[in-house]
Amino acid sequence: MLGDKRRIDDFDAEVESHLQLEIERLQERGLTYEQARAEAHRAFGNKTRVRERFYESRRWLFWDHLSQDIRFGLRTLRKSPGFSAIAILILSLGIGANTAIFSVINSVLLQPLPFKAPAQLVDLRETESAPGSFPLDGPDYLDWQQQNSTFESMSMYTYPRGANASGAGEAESVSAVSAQANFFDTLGVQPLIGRGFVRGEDIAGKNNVAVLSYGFWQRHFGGRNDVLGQQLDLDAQPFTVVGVMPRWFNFPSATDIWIPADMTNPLFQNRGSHWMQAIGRVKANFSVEQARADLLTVSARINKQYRGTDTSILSLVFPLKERLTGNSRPQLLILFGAVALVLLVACANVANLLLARATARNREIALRAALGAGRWRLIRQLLTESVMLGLAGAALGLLGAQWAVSALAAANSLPIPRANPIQLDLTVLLFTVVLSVFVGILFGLAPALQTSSLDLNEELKCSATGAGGAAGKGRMLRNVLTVAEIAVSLALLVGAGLLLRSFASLRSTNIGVQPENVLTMRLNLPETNYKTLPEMRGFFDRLLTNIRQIPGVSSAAITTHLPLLGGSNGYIKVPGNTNPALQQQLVEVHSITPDYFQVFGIPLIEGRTFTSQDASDTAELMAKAGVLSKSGNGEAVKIPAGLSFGVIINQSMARTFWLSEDALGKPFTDEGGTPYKVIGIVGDVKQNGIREKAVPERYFPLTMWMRNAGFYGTIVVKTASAQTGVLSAIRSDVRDLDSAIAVYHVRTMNEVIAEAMQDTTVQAFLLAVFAALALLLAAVGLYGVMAYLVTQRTREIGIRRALGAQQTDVLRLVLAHGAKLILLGVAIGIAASLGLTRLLAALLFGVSARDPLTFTVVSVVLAVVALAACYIPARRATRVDPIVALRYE
Amino acid sequence: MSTQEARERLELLQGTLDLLILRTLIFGPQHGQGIARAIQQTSEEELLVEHGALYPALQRLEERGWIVAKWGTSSNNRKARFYALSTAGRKQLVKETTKWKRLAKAISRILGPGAAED
Repeated sequence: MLGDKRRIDDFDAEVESHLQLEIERLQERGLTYEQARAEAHRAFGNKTRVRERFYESRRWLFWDHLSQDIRFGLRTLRKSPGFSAIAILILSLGIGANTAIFSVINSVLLQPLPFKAPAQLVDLRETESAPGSFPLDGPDYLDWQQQNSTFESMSMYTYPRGANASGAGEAESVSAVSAQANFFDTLGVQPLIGRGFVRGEDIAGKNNVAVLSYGFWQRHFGGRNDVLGQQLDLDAQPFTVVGVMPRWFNFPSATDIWIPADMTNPLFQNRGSHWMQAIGRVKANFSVEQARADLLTVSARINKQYRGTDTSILSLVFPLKERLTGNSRPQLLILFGAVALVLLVACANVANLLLARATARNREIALRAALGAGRWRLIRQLLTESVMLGLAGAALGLLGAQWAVSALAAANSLPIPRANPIQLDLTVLLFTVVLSVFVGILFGLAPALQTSSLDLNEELKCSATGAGGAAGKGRMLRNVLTVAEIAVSLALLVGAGLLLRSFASLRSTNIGVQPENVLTMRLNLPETNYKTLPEMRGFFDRLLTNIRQIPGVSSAAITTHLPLLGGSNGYIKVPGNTNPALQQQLVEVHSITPDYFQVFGIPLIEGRTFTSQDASDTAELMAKAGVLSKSGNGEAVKIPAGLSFGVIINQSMARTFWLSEDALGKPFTDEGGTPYKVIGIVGDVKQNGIREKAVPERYFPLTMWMRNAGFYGTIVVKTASAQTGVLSAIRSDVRDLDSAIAVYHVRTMNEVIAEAMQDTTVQAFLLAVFAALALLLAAVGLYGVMAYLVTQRTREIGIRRALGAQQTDVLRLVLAHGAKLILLGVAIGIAASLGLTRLLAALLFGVSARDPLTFTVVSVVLAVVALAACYIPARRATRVDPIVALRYE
Repeated sequence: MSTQEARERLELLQGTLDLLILRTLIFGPQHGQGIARAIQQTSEEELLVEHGALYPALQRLEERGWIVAKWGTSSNNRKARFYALSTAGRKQLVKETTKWKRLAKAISRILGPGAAED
């Protein structure tokens, strides 16, 4: 009858009728009306107050009790500030960590991509054998675009390239992406100001417009609105700014400037040169699945037509979100699982605290029960208190999470591709509030049930020492909670241990280079000013000569690709070898100047390394073949019969293609038939990441890469020791040669390696923090249980002492109890970890998910810490004075 | 704080009063004044119930569904609001009575035979 409340006048009528009845009764007894009236009013008491109370009671009883409980809870919590502070602190750690990780999960996994109808957006790639994939080639893409029947639109875009931007403000290097004119329309994103690209803008001569990212607009143009129409030079080519994207727009990740691609570029006619990316928007009435089938039919047809078979290169269609989220999903879920476990430990801990306190409160509770409070009412009261603790913990935790999230977002320290910003939004807040209420009930329920099931008789009978009956039942519950804490902490420690070992083995992995004192930096030669090979080669020769003269520099080289970061690859043919497996074996391609091996300390196994003569020979052969300044990568280079390009290969390539034969001097050709001859064999270098194996690889003289106008490369410099002045000297050398060129992305090789293993670093760090937190909480919990136990058994210990037990006997007695809990916890923890660590397997490197060493060390560490936590109360027990203890009651 | 104490004393009264009201209604529907009378008479005037205090209690019991109320006519033809026990109220009465008896026993055991002299 909550909604159907009595009206106050109905109540007044009832009171009036009461008074009348009473007056009449008294009159019957012989009182006068005046006397009877006075007497009736006296017996009734304060009418106004009764009326007030009726008024109050008209509010819902539930809310009434709630506010009563909250007021009471506040008072109780204030009365024991130490307990409240510790409980809130523990909970804030657990809830804060969960909030932080959830906010990452929310923005990366849960929120849809911030584009129009994002479920219809797909990523388009090609593959020879899924799940491996590679970029698209131009003709395939154009055919897909024309022949599909399930796509509303498709749009290609390039990988971001570094460019020198000048114009308003200082020159800076930027990340630029060229995209088809329908790029923004396909995503369904409007620019913040100005416009996107318009139809027909993506052909040479018309594509000199640029759309800026919000960040670049702020940085370079100070966020001024008159940016539209301004000129911006990219690698000395002029572009007109036509639009600025909204702040959140970040696709492809970290792009500064979008410019229209040139769809008339001859590269679009070169089948077999895979260089670009594409997205597609599936028509609203088709599913991704249908689009996938559609494109497979198209690509099979293309294969038959151009490649002879219908299965050689197939289309890959994946939801764009899946592509962007990548492999961060398992990582994030594991982290989420880990923080959830931390929260469980925190809950068990607070539950333990509550149980200990409950003993002290038993008499208070019993009294309340005696005064008519029902069991449910008591449970509600206790749960209100624990939920209040949970909410207070959440409030504090949110502060911590806010800090953690802004650190995560700002430092970019989570290696996760993302389109949505990571922040504490409404969803996260809601999650935190729900979580804290849930947590409050979770840790409060057991103690509340325990406390409210008091036997009134027992409790009121008991004396003030609190050695009551409920305490015995509570002890069991507390032991169970402690064992659970230890087990969960062990599982977390094992996870952290395994990741730390992976981290260590990644660190100690030989990637094939000596990274110490190697400085790397990128630079671009714009194609407008560097059209021919001699122009580019001249620049690099002069630059390297100058750099070598800088004091402290021992060697310097230019390379197309740095180790670990991947690069280009292709197929080769070895005359006389028809092994089909080898025809499908990709070989990395790397172009370098002669000193490259020296800079990185890559050992020469056989033959010789390049000299500048090789660079000249290569250039001369290319000139003879007439391939210079002609676009096209996979094209055959026709050179006079009998001649070949000298190349250096790695040991893997020698082993793979020539087995036990000596590879030195052996000939081979690339896909286009260009002939090569092996002049040297060098040690393996991991080109595709620390976790990957070294793969076959061939090195060309850098001049091989200079057949097209423009150049993107990396300078690598070996210094005698960590030299601080070298970088500025190199910068000024570059500026002296061409003031339009700037070096950028300066990193030491050690930094490159650190970045390549960043995901493992971050995972190991976070999991170690979580595990340490759990261990600390478990140790505190165990300490609490043991300290409580000692207090409870003071009298027993006193008797034992009086009967002649030695201090060591007492120590053993207490430690044995603790050790039992610890052993049980460790055993359960190991069993659980053996199951759980399988989930980690994909993140591990060089260590098994059931690594016995990790399991052993972690168990020992946990046991030692836990025993130490028991030792303090045990020591106290040994100091129990039998006389005092016996008088304890 | 004196108001605090007053409230706590009232709480004690409440628990008891509820029980007494339920008990009184077992003999049939009765209005507020009748209940007050009955309690006073049955307890041989030992319990001095402030009549006004009945009404919040009645209101509470009604909200919990233990009693139901209806306007009717009293024996001397006055309009009055009559309260009657519901099924839930009957059960509650049994429960509360048992509890009360146990509590009384426990308290008297603690206070002991000599407690009255204190």
